[in-house]
Formats: sequence, structure tokens, C-alpha cells
Amino acid sequence: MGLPARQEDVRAVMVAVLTPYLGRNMAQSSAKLYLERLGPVTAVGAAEVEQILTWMRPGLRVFAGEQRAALVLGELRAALMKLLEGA
Amino acid sequence: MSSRSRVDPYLAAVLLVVFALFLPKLVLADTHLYRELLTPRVLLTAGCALKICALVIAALLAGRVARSFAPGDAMRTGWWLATVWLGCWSLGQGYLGVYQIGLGTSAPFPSGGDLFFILGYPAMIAAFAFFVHAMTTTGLVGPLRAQLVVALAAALPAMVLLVFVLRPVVSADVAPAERALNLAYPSLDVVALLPALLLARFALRLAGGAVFFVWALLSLGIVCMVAGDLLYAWFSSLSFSALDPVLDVAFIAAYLLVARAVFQQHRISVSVRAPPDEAR
Repeated sequence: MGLPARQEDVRAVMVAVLTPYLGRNMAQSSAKLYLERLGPVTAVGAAEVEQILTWMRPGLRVFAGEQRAALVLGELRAALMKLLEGA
Repeated sequence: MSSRSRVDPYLAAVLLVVFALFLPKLVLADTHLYRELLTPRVLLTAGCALKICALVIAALLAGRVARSFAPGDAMRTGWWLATVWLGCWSLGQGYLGVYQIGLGTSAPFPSGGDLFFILGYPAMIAAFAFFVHAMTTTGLVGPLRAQLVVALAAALPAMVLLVFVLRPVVSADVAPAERALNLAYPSLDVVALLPALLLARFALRLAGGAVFFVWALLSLGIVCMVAGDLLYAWFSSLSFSALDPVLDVAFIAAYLLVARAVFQQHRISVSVRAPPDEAR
């Protein structure tokens, strides 16, 4: 696993993955909400990524259903891990 | 991957055909076109068939959508209630179809079909309440109280219109059952309009995403239905039939929009292999 990534980069990845499903506004609100929930951290590591995905699951299930939510979260996990590996 | 909203070309095409078939009758009713080709029977049959197809497909898909949510999930309950709503209305429209397609005449009012339509309303309103509840629990659409105030303000014109429309209905010289239904339909519609407007507000926050179309089309469908029912009650109490093509278009559009909304949710949560761009 690589170094923690900057919050701005994590936010950008989250918005990019969520926008096709939730639209840009909701994707940005969602990314902001969950990153703020992490508290005053400037860098995001693998543990924080897993925490964010856990927080996101119930909300995403409401809009997209069980299977699609799992698919989107898998896509997001892969994109964020790729970011961490490149950090 | 594009995130821009785009109008569903198939839905737009079907709606355009419906408008083109029904609305010119408002000014061309006495022409060859509407006396020989698009006769009342042809329009009645086409309109009824479209409504039955839209409602049956929507009911079947809503059931599949419900199963895509986990047991105990508020959205699952909401979609099951939507299945009951659309199932009841399919039966109601099917009952009307016996007259409109089978016999080529307008169905009597009231009829057995109204029983199914009335039975569908509590399920529809409860479904919307579950959807709103589930969405507010995500923390992404803002607090319910603030949203409710805005939705109430938005529903106010419909409530004022309801009072205006119901006044002649109350005093109309019609059978008690007809009066009761002419009061019940618009009143239940306005009750349903409130959560539908909340869903429309939530939809605006989802603009640009695949999920947007589910709630935007559903809300728009309900708005068309409310408009149709309010006008129907009003025209019926005044024995005014010149604007019937507007009613036909309102109801057909409402059911098509609702069916497309359910199909959209089906593409998102059931056809999970489809990428989000295809789900639009």
C-alpha cells in the first residue's frame, strides 16, 4: 500500500466515480460530507478509505439498490486504492 | 463518461406522437381526420391500450426493483407499495379497457375500475412517504422539516385550485357515488402531490446522474395525473367535454412518465451490468 493521499485528490476521485449515478451536485455533497466526517485529517490512507466506503454504503443503497451500490463501492475502492498506490 | 442529463429519445417520441394524435382534436374535431380516421373509438382504444401497457409494465418492474433492495430496507417497502399501487391501477385500467377496447365505448362513471383506482391511492401515498423517509435518512438531501416547508409552499397552488375545483363538484347535480369519486380523486391527488414534490426537490439535487431521472419522471408523472384529475372533476361537474383530449393526454403522459421512471430504477438497481450511461 502506498502513502496517504491528499483530501483534495480523494474528493476528486469520489466525485468522478459518483457523478454518473448521483449527479455532480450530490456527488460533491456526498464527498464533502464523508470527508468532513473523518475529522481534521489532511491525508487519507487505506483505513480511512474503508471507513468512507462503510459510511457511504447505506446512502448509496437507498438510491441505487443493493447490487448497484456494491458495484459502485467496488469501483470507488479500486479508484481510491489506485490513487493511494500512486501517492 | 458524460455526466450531462439527456432527454430519453424514445419517451420523447412516444409523447410527441400522443400529443400529435390527441391535441389537434381540440380545433379539428369536425374535420375528416377526426370523423373518419382518428374516430373516438380509435383514440379511445389507442389511449386505453397505452395506459394499460404503461401500468402493467411499471407494476411488473416495480416488483423486481423492490426485490433488489435488502429486506427491512425502507426503499424495499416503498417499492413493494408502488407495486401494489401500480398493480391496482393496472386492474382498474383493465376494467375500463373492457368498455374502451372491447365495446368501443366510454366506461361508465363510476365503475368497478374506480374501486381499483381508489384502492391504489393509499399504497401510492405510503410508497412516496417511504421513499422520502429513506432519502432523508441518507443525510444527503437536507433535513425533512426544511424540505417540507418548501414542498407545502409548492403544493399551495394545487390546494387553492382544489378548493376552486371542488366547489362546483359539491353542488353538481350528479349521483352520490359520482360526486364522492369526483371529490375523492382530486383530494387524494393533492395529498400525493406533497411527497411527490419533495421527491422532485430531491431529484433536483441529483441532476446529471442516472438516479435523477427516476425521481424527476415520477414527480412529473404525478403532476400530470393531478392536473388530469383536477380537470376531469371540474369538467365532469360542468358536463363539459370539449377539452377531453387534454385529459387524455394528461393521463397517458402521466402513466408513461411513471412507467419510464420505474424502468429507470430497474436499469439502475436490477440491470446492474448496464453502465450508468446506458441507465439514462
